[in-house]
Amino acid sequence: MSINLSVQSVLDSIESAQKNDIVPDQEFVLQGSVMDLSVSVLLSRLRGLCDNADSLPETFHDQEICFILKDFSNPGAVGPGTGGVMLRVRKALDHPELPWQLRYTGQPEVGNRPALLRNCLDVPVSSNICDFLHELGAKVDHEYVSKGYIMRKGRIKVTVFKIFKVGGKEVQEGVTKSHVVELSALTTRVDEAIATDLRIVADQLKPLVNLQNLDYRRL
Amino acid sequence: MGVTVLQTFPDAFRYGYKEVEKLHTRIAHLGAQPNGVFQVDCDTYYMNQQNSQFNDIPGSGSTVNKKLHILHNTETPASTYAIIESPGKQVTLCADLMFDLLLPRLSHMYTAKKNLKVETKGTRFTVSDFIVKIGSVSMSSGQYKGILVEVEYLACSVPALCWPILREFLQSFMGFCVSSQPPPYLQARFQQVQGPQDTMQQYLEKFNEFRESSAYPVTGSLSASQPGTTSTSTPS
Amino acid sequence: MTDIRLEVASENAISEIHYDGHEVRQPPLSMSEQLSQFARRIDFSAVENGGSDEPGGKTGEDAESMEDDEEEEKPCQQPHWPLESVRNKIRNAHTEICVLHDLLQMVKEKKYLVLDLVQTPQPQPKLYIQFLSLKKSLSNASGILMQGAERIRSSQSSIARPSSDFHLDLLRLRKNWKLKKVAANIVGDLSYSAVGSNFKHNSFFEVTKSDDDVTLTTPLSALPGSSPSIGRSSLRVTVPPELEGSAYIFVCIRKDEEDLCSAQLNMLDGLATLNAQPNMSPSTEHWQQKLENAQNVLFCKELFSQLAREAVALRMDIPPLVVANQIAATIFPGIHLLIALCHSHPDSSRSRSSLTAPHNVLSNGTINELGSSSTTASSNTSTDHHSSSSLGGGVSSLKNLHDKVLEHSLHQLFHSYLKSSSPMPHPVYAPLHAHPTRRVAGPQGLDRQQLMQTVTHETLLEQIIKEAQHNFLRLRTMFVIDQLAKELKDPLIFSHWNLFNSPTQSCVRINIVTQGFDSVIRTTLVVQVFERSLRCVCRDGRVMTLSFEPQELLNLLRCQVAQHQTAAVQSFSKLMGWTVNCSEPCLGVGSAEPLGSASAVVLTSPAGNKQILVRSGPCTGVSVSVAAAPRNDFYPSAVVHERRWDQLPGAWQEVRLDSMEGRNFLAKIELLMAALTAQN
Repeated sequence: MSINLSVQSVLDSIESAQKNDIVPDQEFVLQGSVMDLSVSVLLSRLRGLCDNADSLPETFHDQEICFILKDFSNPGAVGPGTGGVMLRVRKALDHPELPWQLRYTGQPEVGNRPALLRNCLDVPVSSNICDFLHELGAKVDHEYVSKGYIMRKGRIKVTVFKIFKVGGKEVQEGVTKSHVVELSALTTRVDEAIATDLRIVADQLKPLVNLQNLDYRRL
Repeated sequence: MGVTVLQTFPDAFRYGYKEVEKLHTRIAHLGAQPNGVFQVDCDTYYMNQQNSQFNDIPGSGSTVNKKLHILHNTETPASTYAIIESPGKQVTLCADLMFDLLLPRLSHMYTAKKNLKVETKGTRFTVSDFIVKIGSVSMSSGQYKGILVEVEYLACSVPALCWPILREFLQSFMGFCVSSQPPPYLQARFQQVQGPQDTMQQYLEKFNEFRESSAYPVTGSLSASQPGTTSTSTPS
Repeated sequence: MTDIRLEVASENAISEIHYDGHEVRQPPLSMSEQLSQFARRIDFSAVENGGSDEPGGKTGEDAESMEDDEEEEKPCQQPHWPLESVRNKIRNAHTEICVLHDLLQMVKEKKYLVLDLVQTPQPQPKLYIQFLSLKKSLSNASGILMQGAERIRSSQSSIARPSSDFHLDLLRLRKNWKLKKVAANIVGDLSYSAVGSNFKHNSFFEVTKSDDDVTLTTPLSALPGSSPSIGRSSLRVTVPPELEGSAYIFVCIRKDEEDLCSAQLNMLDGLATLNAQPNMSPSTEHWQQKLENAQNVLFCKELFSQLAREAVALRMDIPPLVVANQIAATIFPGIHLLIALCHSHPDSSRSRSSLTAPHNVLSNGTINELGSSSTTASSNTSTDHHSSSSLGGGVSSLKNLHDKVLEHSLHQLFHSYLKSSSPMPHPVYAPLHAHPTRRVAGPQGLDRQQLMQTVTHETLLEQIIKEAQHNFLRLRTMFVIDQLAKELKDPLIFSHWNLFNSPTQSCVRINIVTQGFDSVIRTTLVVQVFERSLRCVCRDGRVMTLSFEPQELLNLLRCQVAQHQTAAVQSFSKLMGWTVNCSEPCLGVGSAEPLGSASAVVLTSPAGNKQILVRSGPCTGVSVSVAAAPRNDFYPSAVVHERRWDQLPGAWQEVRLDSMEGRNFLAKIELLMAALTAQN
C-alpha cells in the first residue's frame, strides 16, 4: 500500500495504478464439493498443506445478499448488454464490527488455463450498502448464509463452507448435504503464475476432493 | 474526527487568487501553520436518459432522475464516497478506493457527465485544535467558481457542543459572512456525532450550489439538486 | 516333409541372355515333364526315417536311404525313365509290407514264433555315488531353507527393534518435519515458510535409507523430543552443507573495548544443547538432532539477514554499520550494540575461518572464547564467560557478563518475528494479505495519519536497539545508585528494583534513611528507567525527566540526600521538643554550591535560649552551628516585656561534627540537642 503524499488527485492515482496493471482485480478459482462426512478428513489434510499448521483453521460465518442491477423496466430486452450486473454484498455475522464487502465478479474468461480466471473486484463498504444499492436501482436476487473454515497457503485462500438458507429460525437448514471447497487467489492482469500453484494444491487434495475449473455458463 | 463546518467565502468580483491570499494572511495572524495541501473532487453520474424517462424505479415509486456523485478527499486517501441523490432522499456510502474500479461496470445504468466535475484545491492550515482548509473551487474546464473554507474542530464530535467556538473562530478571520446560525446541514444533525461522510455531504451541497450558479446549460432537473435532506430549514 | 509348390511359376526360367539383353526363356514344360520334376523332388528318405520304429529294420532301411541319398546327391546321373526312383521306393515298401504281414501272421498263430522281451544286462548300481548325490541335493535344499529362515528371522528382529526400520523412522520423521516425495527421493523442508517466513535459502534436506548395517553407537540420551531408546537409525538425512554445524546470534553491548553485557541466542534451548555432543562427527549424528541443528542455522541466518536488511534501511543519527556478519549500532555516545552471526562448521578448519570474523573486529577475547567453546567444548556453559568488566572503574568484578534477562527478551522478540502474520479476512471476500487497518480504512474514512500508522511499524532491529538501550541504561542506573550508596555512609540508600515487567521499562524505588532513625524520616523517590531517559518521581510529587547521562541522576540523588538531612533534623526536632524557626530548602545565602542548592534549618531549644543551624549542601555536606542567648535569667522591662525578645542569640559557632560522638549525623544532632537542652 502506498500513500501518495503529494496533492495528486486520489482518482488519478488509482487510474494510473490500473493502467500499470498493479491492481489485483483478477481472480483464479477452483471449486469442488465434498460430502459433510468427509469434511473432517479434508480439513486435516488442508491443515497439513496450509500455513499455520499448528493452529486450528479459523471459522467464518458470513451472510451474502446478491443484488442485480439492471434495467427492470425493459424486461423484453435480452442480450449481453441488458443482462445486468450482479453485485454481492457480504457481511461477517461473527464480526459485526468489520466493514461489509461489496463484490463484483465478471464472466469467466475464455482460454485454457489451469484454473478459472475471472474479473473480480472487492470493495470494503459501509453498512448502508443495501440501502445504497436499492436506491441505485438494484433488486435483491437471492441471499444465503455460508459457514465454514478459511485457511491460507501463501497467496492462496482456501475456504471450506456449507451454504445455509436464510431464515429467522434458530436452526438453520443446509441447502445440500455437502460442503463447498474453494481455492482462490487474487492476482493482477499480467501475473498468471499463481494459477499453476493453485492447480498443484488442488492436485494434492485429489483423492479427497476433485477441484475443477467450473464453467458456470454451461450450468 | 471532529466537527467540520464548510463556509463559502463571498467573492463577488471574482478576484480569485487575491481573495485567497487575503484569507491566508488573515489566518496567519491567528498563528496558523501551513500544513500541506488538499483537494476534494466530485464526479457526477446520471442515470441513463432512456431508462429514467419511462421508468419508475420500484421502491421509490416515482419517475426520478437519479444522480450518483462520486467524491474523493485527499484527507481520507483510502476512501471513495458515493452519494446517490434522488428527490427527498440521499444515501451516502463510504467505500474503499476500489469502488472507483466498479463504476465502469455500472455504465449500463449510469454515465458520467465529465463537464460537471468540480473540485476544490488549496492549502491546509493548523491552528492548535482547528484545521483550516482554504480552497478555490473550479470546474473541470478550469473555470473558477469561488472560495470554500473548511474548518474542522478536532476536540469535539458533536456540533451542538462546539458551535459557539466554531462560529467565533470562523468570524475571526472571515468576518460577517458567517452567520450566527449554524448551517442547515449541521442544524439537522446538531446532536449527532459527525463522521467523515458528513464532511463530504457538506462539500456536495456546496458544489451543487456552485454548479447551480453557473451558466451551464444543464437540464432543468438540476433545480432539485439542493440536497433535500430531512431538514427543511432555510439556508442562511 | 518337402513342401511342394502347387502354383505354377509365373514365368519360365531363363535359359540364355543375349548380349543385347534379350532373354531366351525355356519352353514350358509338358505335363509329364512336370510330373517327373515333382516326383524327383519327393524325398522318401525322410519318410523312411520317420516311419521306421523297429530298431531291427532300421539298419537296412538306413542303408537303403543312404543309397537313395547317394542317388539324389548325383543330380547329373539321369534316371532311366522319369519315375524310376518312385517305382523303386514303392517296390521296396511293398516288399517290406509283405514281410511284415507274414511276420505278423506267424506271431498271431503263436505256433512257430513267440515275441519276447529282450533282456539287456542292467549296469550294477553304484550306491556310493547315489549317496553322494543325495547328500548334495539335500544340502542344497537345506541351504535354501536356511536362507529363507534367515530372511524371516531378520525381518522379525527388525520389527522387534523398530528403531532400525526405515519406514517406522520415516513415519516418526514425518510427524515433526515436512516431507514430500520428488521422483524417487524423499525431500524435506526445514524452512519457516509455514509460519510466514519468506527467506530464500536452500532449506531442503534429503532422506535416504542408510545402507550400512553396522550398528552405530550413537549416544542419544540428550536428544530433545525424540524417543530415547533409539540405538541406530536406518534413516539418513542429508542437509545442505551450508546448514551444517551450529550457529547462534551473539548480541553484546560494548563500551570502548569492553563488553558490558552479552547474550547468545538460537532456536535450540540454550547453549547446552549446542555443546552437548561436540565430538560427534556429522555422520553419526542422529537425524532428529541433525535436522534441529540445521534448522537452527537456518533460523540464525534468516534472522541475521532480516536484521541486516533493517540496519541498512534504519535511519538513526549514527546509522548502523553492517560489515560481513556483524551489525554495529551506536546506542549511546561511546556505547555500541553488536550483533554478530556465529556459525561454526563441524570440521574445525572451517570453524576457525568462520569464527574469526567476529573477533577480528571485536578484538576481544570473549567472542573467541565463546566461539571455541561451542566447537571444541572446552568449557561448557556460558556462565564461564564473565570478565572483570568495569563501568567507570569500579563495578564488582563478579558481575556476570552474560545477561539472561536481555537474552530472554531478545528470544521473545525473535520468536514473535516469525509468528507475525495478518489475521484472516472477514467476511471472506476481503483480500487475504491486507493489513487489518487497511481493510477498514475506506469505509471508516481514516485520514492520512492513521493510515501511515499502519504502514510504519517498528522493525526488529529498532526493538532490539531499544531493548539494548534500556538494558544498558538500567545497568548504568544501577551502577550509579550502588556507587553512591557505597560512597555515602551516613544516610543509607536502599534501592528496590522491579525489573521483570517490560523489556523496555523498569522501575527502581530508592529509600534514603538514617540508620537507627528510619522511623523518624524516610525519603523515597521512584526512578523509572526507559530507553533513553529516566523519570524521577520525588516524595513531594515533583516529576523530573532526566537524560541518559549518569551525572544527572547522581546530582539528583545528592540533592535528595542533602534535603533528606535537613528534613530529618526538622522532623527529629519535633520529637525533641525543639521548634523550627525557619527552614529553607533552597538557600540563597552563603557560598554557592557547585550544583543544586543548599538547604538549611534553624531550630530553637524548648527553653528558647539555644539555637542550632543546620546547613546541608549536595557537595559541601552538612555543617552545624550553635548559638546561645547570653543570659539565663530574664527581667521584664519597659522595652523588652517578654522573655523571648530578650534571648537574642549571639554569634554562631560551628560544631565540629566529626569529633563528636555518634554513629551518624542524626545521632550527633540528638546528642547536641540533648546537651543544649540540658544546659538550662
